[in-house]
Amino acid sequence: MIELAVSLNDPARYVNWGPLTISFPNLFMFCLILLLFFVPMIIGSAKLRKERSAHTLAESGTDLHDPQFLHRWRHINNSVSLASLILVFASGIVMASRGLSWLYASNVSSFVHGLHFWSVQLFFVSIILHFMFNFWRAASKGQRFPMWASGVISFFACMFTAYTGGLVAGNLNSQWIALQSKNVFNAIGVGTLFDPLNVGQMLTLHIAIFPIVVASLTLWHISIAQQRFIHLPWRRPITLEVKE
Amino acid sequence: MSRLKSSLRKIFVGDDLHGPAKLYRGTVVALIPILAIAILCAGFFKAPESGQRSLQDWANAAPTDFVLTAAFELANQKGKGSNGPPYNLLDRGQSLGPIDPQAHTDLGIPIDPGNDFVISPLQVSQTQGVYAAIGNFRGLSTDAQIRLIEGFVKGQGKAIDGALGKWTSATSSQQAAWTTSYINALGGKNNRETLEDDPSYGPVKTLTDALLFLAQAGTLDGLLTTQQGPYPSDFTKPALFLGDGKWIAEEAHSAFLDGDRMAVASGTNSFPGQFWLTPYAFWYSVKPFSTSRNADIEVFAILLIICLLTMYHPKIPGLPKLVRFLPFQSLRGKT
Repeated sequence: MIELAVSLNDPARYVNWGPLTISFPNLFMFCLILLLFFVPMIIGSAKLRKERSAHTLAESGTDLHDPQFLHRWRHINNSVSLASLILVFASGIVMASRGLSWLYASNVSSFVHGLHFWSVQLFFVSIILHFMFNFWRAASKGQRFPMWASGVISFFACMFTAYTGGLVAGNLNSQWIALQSKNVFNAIGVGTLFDPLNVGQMLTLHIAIFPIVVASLTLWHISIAQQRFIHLPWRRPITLEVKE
Repeated sequence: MSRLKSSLRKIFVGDDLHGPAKLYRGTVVALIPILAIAILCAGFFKAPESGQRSLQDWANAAPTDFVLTAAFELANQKGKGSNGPPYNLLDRGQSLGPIDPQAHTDLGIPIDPGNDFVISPLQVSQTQGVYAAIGNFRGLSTDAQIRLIEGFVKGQGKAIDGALGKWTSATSSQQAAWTTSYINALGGKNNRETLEDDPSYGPVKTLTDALLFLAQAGTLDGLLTTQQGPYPSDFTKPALFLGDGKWIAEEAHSAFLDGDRMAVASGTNSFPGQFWLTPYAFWYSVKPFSTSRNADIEVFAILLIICLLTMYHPKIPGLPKLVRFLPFQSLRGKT
């Protein structure tokens, strides 16, 4: 497997669209998210049309929140998000138990590091999809607002945790990001409290404090979501009546 | 096939389960393919490699930039990353109109660039750094070893003592005159090898050359971190000094990590980065933020607005109704 390894250690190519410059790998991740969002939408839409042709719409009976196909797809995505978060924690615990200097010590450590890195990427792909699906489904409406708010807070906590992880990765990228982003924390007046150049502080935040925050927020979000899983769409619910 | 499909669907989605049980069972099942994908990616692509840049790398790769930056530090010249709160009051920092949090920050990480980055390491090196340099001697390239020997042959150790004494006993205006003269001369030549000594530089050339000597031997990296204790975990000082030079920016540029290319969201080489930060990093590459000296606090304000809008958009009158006009609502059927 090591011989077969594809090197991603050459400089990336970039795409320019006016002021927006984006690397190919990042563009690929965005395309993947859009693909996983639109393809189920198109399939779900086609399936819904098929269902409609077999039924007439009426104002009574059970409401159809979204097509069964999309409903299942969203549930799979929720499970994938949680599963990848568990994998992030599991690989992170192994890395934390061995220390920072272990990160580049051997093929085994490189593999565990890779596992952590790629499960974080998978987690963010699935969590952004989760965010997009629930935004379009108006999951912030009315009684479901606490569920939405807890999700948004958890999402930002995850982003901040991943950012501190990037700072302690021990490469040019982490050095440069630390040097650039320290200006932000200094500019908003918290430079003394939060110093991205202080590897010790960033490491303890990344492996001790933020994981507890992320785990607690995730459990909070899930518990709210499970209590309020009755979904009310923006429009009046459509109802089906079977053709005689 | 259809039986397999329906049983997979049952396991994954669990039509017979509701609420938490459905999610937890789905999660346990999803762990298998997620683990498989992560193992495949980790096996084939691995993780981003190491490759941190040290002060030693900088001193060996771009000695002129190194000594010029050291002279800038001695001159306490403005516009560097190590200026302003919470490090010092050499710069006021950034502000957003009347909102000026940086100016009111306490100096929690006190840094005096000239003393901390140049004078203090040289003073310490006179007693212990030389031994560390000798300890590193074997690990050096032949060129660096030759430079090291040449330094000792020229009696640089004694010269540094004299230069340090001359610098510390001089007035600040005298120090400023020396550094300005040296910076102008070196900036014009852009090559420290061809720059001849001149009395107008005072001790600056000797001091910056000695610092280069320490850095090339690998001693300076340690000297800047061990001031707080023997086993450091805070690399703020060497990182700030490195960040004040041009070389690290050139290195980052060659790896496509500079600000215009959204550094925070970019990954290491061809690895995907923190692509989820693109909506934040994007603002740094558009005007007026790309040219503003207050870009960080301005873009942070935008980020704050984005966060608040994301969170509270259902509470803003009229805004939630816009969602009705989005195309995917139609997937739920017509009213």
